[in-house]
Amino acid sequence: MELHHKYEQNPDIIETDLEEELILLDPKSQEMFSLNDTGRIVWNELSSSTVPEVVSLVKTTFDISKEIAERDVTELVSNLSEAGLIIPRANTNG
Amino acid sequence: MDNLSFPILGRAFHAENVPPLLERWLKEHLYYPEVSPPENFYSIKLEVLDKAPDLGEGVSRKSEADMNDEVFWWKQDGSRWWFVEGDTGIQFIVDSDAFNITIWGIRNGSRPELKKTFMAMYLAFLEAIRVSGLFPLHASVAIKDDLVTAYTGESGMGKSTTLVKALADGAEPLAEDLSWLDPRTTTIYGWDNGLRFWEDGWEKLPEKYKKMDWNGDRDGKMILPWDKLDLERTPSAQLDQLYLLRRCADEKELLETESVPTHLAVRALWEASGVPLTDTAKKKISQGIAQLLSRLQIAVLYI
Repeated sequence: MELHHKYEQNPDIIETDLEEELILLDPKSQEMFSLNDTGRIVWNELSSSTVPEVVSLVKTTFDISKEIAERDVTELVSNLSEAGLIIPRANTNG
Repeated sequence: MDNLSFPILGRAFHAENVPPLLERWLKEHLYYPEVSPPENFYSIKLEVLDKAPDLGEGVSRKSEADMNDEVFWWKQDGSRWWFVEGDTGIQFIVDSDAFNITIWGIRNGSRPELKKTFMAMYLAFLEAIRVSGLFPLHASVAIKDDLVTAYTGESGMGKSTTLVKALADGAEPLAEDLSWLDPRTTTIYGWDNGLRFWEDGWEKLPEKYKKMDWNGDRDGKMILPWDKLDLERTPSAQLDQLYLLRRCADEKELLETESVPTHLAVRALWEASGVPLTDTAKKKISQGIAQLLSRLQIAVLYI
């Protein structure tokens, strides 16, 4: 699956923050997704950051290698996109 | 035309220039003086206009209300939402300490003509109460031996039937279909007009209920208004447990209970509360669910 550079949260998705996990519910499909700490960062930051910026943030936050951060983030972005939880963000460069 | 003020679940409500048709509707759907939560800072205001205000453009947002399976197409511009039906409509604006509703074009209409606009207004009031911090719960609620139990589930799953069985077992009713829950304290407030059952459910009620003053409701159900309930009714109480009703499968015994994984409890609570319109209300409900999971016993009940 081709990944885009920028994404935003699908506004129809409902969040429930249980501190130890963030649960996302798609009210249309009734599918649920549980995000751990890495997933929470990706979900919260994607609307205002590019995918590479999120990779960098995850790398720094968890003190892991760039390769591992990139692998984890791109896999998660791919899963979230495939499930419709995030959608490609239109470019707004003026 | 009069001004109207009364508390809605402890939230101050004020409406101005209210025509008689609207006054009757407001009192029928929102006036529950026996349900009196502590006073809350949040206020709800209603303004009645002859014509639509300047609405501007907006983003279309669809909501499927759990009222006769109606679909409502709202428009949104930031914290301002509106719904238009011909020459009538509703607008609401969500502020941090107040919820401002405007309705227009209703002075000369009859109730059937204004049905969808009034339904949209009801959705706006539900949204206001959610934003103010209460959690709506589509559930029947019964009290027995000081234990307060709510039964929730998908439409048709058996909330009312389960309530009938609870009453037959000696419980007393707190709510038949809708209540409001304060997630901080787990206090639950009944929000029905009375008991309402189809005839086959009514037939299974204990005799003492059947002897009370029932009437036929508009949809064919039998209704017993709370003021005709020949018992001392408790309109609010501390909720002890919430059962998610599920059909009894072969391997499960009738009335067996089962603990609920967190994810299922989260989904069930969202289903039981209905999906809000606004992000503000979604955040409040989300916070409420997180609080309820830590404060309430939640389990599946097989029926």
